[in-house]
Amino acid sequence: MLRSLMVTLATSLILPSLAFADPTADELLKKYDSVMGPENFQATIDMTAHRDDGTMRTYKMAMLKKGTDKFRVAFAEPAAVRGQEMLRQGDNLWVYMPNLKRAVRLANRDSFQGGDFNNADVLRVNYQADYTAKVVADPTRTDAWQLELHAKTKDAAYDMIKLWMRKSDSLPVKGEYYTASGKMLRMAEFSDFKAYSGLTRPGKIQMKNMLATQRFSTMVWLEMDTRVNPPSGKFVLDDLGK
Amino acid sequence: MRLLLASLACLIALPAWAEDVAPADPVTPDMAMPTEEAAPEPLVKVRVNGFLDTRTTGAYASVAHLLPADDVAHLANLTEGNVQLKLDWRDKATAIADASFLYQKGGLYYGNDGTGDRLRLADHDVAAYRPSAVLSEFYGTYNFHEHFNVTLGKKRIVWGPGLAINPTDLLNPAKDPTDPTMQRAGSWLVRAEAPFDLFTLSLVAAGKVTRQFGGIPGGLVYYPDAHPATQYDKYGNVQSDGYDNRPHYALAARAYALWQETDLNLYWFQTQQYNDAFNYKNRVGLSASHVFFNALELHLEAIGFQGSSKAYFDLDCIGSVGAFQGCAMTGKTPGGYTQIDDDGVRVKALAGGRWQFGDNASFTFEYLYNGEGYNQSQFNNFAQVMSMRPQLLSLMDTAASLHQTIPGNALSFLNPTANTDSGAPQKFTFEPMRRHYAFFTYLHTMIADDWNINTVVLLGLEDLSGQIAPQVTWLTQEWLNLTLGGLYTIPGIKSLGAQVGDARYTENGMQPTAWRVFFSARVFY
Repeated sequence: MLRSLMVTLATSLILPSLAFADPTADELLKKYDSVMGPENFQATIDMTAHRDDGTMRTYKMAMLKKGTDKFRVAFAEPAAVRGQEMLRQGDNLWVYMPNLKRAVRLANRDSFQGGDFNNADVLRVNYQADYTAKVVADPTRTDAWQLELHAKTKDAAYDMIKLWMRKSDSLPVKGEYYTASGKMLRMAEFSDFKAYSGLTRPGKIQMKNMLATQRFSTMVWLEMDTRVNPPSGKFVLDDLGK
Repeated sequence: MRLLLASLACLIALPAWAEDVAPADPVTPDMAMPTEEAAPEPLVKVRVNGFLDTRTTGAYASVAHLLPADDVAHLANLTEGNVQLKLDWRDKATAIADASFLYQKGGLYYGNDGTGDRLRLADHDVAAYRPSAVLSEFYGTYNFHEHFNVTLGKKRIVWGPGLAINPTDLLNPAKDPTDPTMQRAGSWLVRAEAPFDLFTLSLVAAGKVTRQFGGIPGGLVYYPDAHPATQYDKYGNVQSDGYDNRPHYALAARAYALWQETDLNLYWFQTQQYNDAFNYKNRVGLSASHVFFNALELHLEAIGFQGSSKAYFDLDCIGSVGAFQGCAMTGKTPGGYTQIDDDGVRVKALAGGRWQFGDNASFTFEYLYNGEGYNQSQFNNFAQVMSMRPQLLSLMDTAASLHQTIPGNALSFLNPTANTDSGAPQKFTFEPMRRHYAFFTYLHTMIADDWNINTVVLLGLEDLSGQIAPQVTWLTQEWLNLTLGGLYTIPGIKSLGAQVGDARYTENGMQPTAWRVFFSARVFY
């Protein structure tokens, strides 16, 4: 009787600890990449830039991704930018300007259509490749793991990122983006979690500009399909504009 | 037994309890396997957009410059209706059309009264201000395979990375370096292309438009039979029937590679009386573009060839109109093709960089070396001939035989009609005469969210004459842009220019337009 009680007690103590073993930083980073930038997808996205004066501008775009580092974005609205496209392949980024009928090579640092996301926020979701991560304690939030990410490549968008991922399902809920000197540039809130063709992820990201605090931009995923397998020919420079 | 049951109960109960708190494996992506295929896309996706633009321009043209001001409207309006249509057949084929309909009117002309004073001229018909239609692009692409497609129609293909000018662009109508967005017209061509992840091979055959009506070509490659204006065989000899029976085409092969995060291109061209005077001319080129420090893009674009397509002038023949005519009548060439078959290798090269500041601003600097540009004495001779332009044109009208006795197109510069399909009307057409040029472009978009500024400076480095073109655009609504811009001719240093009699002329100082201001309203749909 005593033996069975001890075994039961031991099982009760050991199994939960196994079930709740904290994920490693690398595992969380992998999870982040897998939900925010699944290997292949096509999506329709609205981005709304809220400006200082209270007005806003909305852009509609179609995004296509293949593998870890091939992105293509085609702008559909407003009419003034219709036909404009962006292509990322590895560390290379081009923008196709329909009024020039040509593509121009870009650096990642520009803001994405003048909003509060930058190009890399949208077109470079590969944190495993760009950052080293460690889990740090955040006594103010017991419902989320906090990760501290440090850039490991020159092409990373930020020098340092603090990222919170909720413990219930490891989905991101908040991000803070810093310069090397520790100045916060942006803050993101992830919300509207829902399933897109089987993938549960945030449907909305609100990015606040911490340098101009009246400004923020939201990106809403209207549709997302991870079942596609886009041809690699869609991700070459010469296909832009076609 | 009880032990077994207790343990089993724990194993069953714990995961269920844990599920309320956290999933058993919270870091595994929540990716349910798809149970259905993605919804089929429509057979054909259609995209229509375009703009309506009205541009009013005020200008001041000097009557004292070398080139006449007679046809420069001091007040002009250009209204452009543009429509762009794209049809996409499920990644299998694409058809694109980009057409503009231009209504324009110019007035308020001034000329030289013969004593150097301004004289108001009667409004008159000027070809540059006629209503027209421009079919900038009209082509279809069929993807036979992921890695092989064929394009047929009119398309603007620009491979080189240069911003203000592309020395390797031998296919398209020239663009305006002070506002490259004004030129969207391509050339009629067929292209076979094999694109891969890291390299692309392209073959292009383009035909020159030899006649067109309202933007629609009526002749390609060969002049229509009834065309009377040309008279040479492929060796430059006069044809007895008086017709040009030469083909006018360009062939191009291009290999692109993305290597070490650098865009690399190698080119081969053969052109036959296409956009310049060369006959069956082979040219090779290369270009490269790379981003350094995540902010600085550096590029190089160069093309090499033998000979020169420029007209050169013999000092003995250009002292006066009589000397010019005398040289022509005695069979001595007063100008033209003396270097077109020259074995000497010439290079046109553009090198530059673009710094992105991180606040949607960029500064571009480019240097152009034009290997077939005039040296100082050649430029002097050219200016001398240009000073006789009115008399020479008059002579051509009255003595057709003069035209017949001058080989090549030595006089074509007097009345340029080289390209019957020059695309949309431009603020400024850049035809480099000298050897060294610099371009500066400052672009800052989204200033206070709704303002863009753009300034381009073109500078001839031999006499420091050039053009400066500032422009500010207010993005008032998502569908409406208002632009105020200008073009000012930098007169340069006259002592470095060409001497004609007692006067000195810089390259850009020859042009009649001293400045130009425009206001444009563009509505997008």
